[in-house]
Amino acid sequence: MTDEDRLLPIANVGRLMKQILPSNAKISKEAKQTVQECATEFISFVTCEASEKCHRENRKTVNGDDIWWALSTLGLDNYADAVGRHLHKYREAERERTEHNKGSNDSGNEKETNTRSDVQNQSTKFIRVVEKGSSSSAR
Amino acid sequence: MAMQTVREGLFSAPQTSWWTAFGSQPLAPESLAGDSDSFAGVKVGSVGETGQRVDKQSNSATHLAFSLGDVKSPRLVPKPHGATFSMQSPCLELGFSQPPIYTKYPYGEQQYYGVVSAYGSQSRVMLPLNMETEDSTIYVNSKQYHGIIRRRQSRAKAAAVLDQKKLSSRCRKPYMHHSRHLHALRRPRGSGGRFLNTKSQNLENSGTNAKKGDGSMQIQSQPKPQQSNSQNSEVVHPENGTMNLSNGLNVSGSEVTSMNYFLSSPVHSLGGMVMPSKWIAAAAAMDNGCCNFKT
Repeated sequence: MTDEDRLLPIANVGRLMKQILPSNAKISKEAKQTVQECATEFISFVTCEASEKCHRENRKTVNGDDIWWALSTLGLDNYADAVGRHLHKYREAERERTEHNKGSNDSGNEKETNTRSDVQNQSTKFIRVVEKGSSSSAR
Repeated sequence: MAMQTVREGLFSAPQTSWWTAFGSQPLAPESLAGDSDSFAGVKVGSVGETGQRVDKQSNSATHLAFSLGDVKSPRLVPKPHGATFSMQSPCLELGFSQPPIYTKYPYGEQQYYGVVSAYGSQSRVMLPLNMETEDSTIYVNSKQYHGIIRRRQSRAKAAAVLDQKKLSSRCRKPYMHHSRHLHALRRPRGSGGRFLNTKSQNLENSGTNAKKGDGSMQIQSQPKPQQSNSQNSEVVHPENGTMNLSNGLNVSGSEVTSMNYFLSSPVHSLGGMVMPSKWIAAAAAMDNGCCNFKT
């Protein structure tokens, strides 16, 4: 594991930054690196809080509710509201997909996996939520 | 850092024009107004940069709040940290200033009085003098205090692991796979320790093939650049022509040997007995076991 493995991919960070700037704006390499570190630390901060709650309750899977709870506990109420709405939409989409595929038994809950990949999945989901939030704010 | 205390606001000094420009109410007593100017000057620059970055991210207006001298803070815990965290903490702490600003909108009765010494300060009492230096304390959201402390510990642990890996990477492993290492040990090596490649082995085989048959020898000798030498030897010494040709072909491929042959032939033109000893000495010098002199 190197330093780069512990950070979000910088190309994706740059693309997200570019989405809410004017088309003629330019972002320096240093700015991308700084935002990369800030975003990584923020995600680790929230995920660590959620993981701590799961550890107290003897659970191994960190799910969306835990992330929402962590944001609420840390006082990030605006983020918690946005995550709650997107989590609700996601579960509705999962329910519709389940009803469409009547053969599957998936009820919308996340599958059992080990903690490491789960944390990464949560980070990926959070990135998606942030992206949607940025798009909605840009409108 | 940007933070606001509702309870502290009740005892704060009246609003001043300096703080009005930043859209926030000053919470410092009048007695600290003189010191707060320079302190606010330092903070305005750093927080301004963060404000710009936040604007780029969220396209929302940024409200900056300043709080100085929160004497009633119950948590006064000194936290020594290494240089790495003192370098990283300002950026990371400023990154967290966005959520408390947002919480100003609902105007909830939330109190932010967590105390964290991000710059390695060892002070145990909240003194006004600390505000003038760069080692001032940083106030964070009380809800996030434990999370920040936990993150610092895990970050220190990860940094220690990385340092150990960097140290271990210095002693380079001699080989990656043991089986390939054994195979390399069994390979034949030439002079200097280099592996003998397939090209050099083919040259040795072609040298062996040249010894077979006199007709093939003459055919192979024609395209070689030694035609003039062979013709001279035939003209001058018809009796020893065959012997000279065979000697030349045996040691062909080596420039040094051909030069010795060219130099030695005119000198020992009459002495037939001296030729074999000369070639034997040359062969010994060349250390080439493949040469076999005929009769």
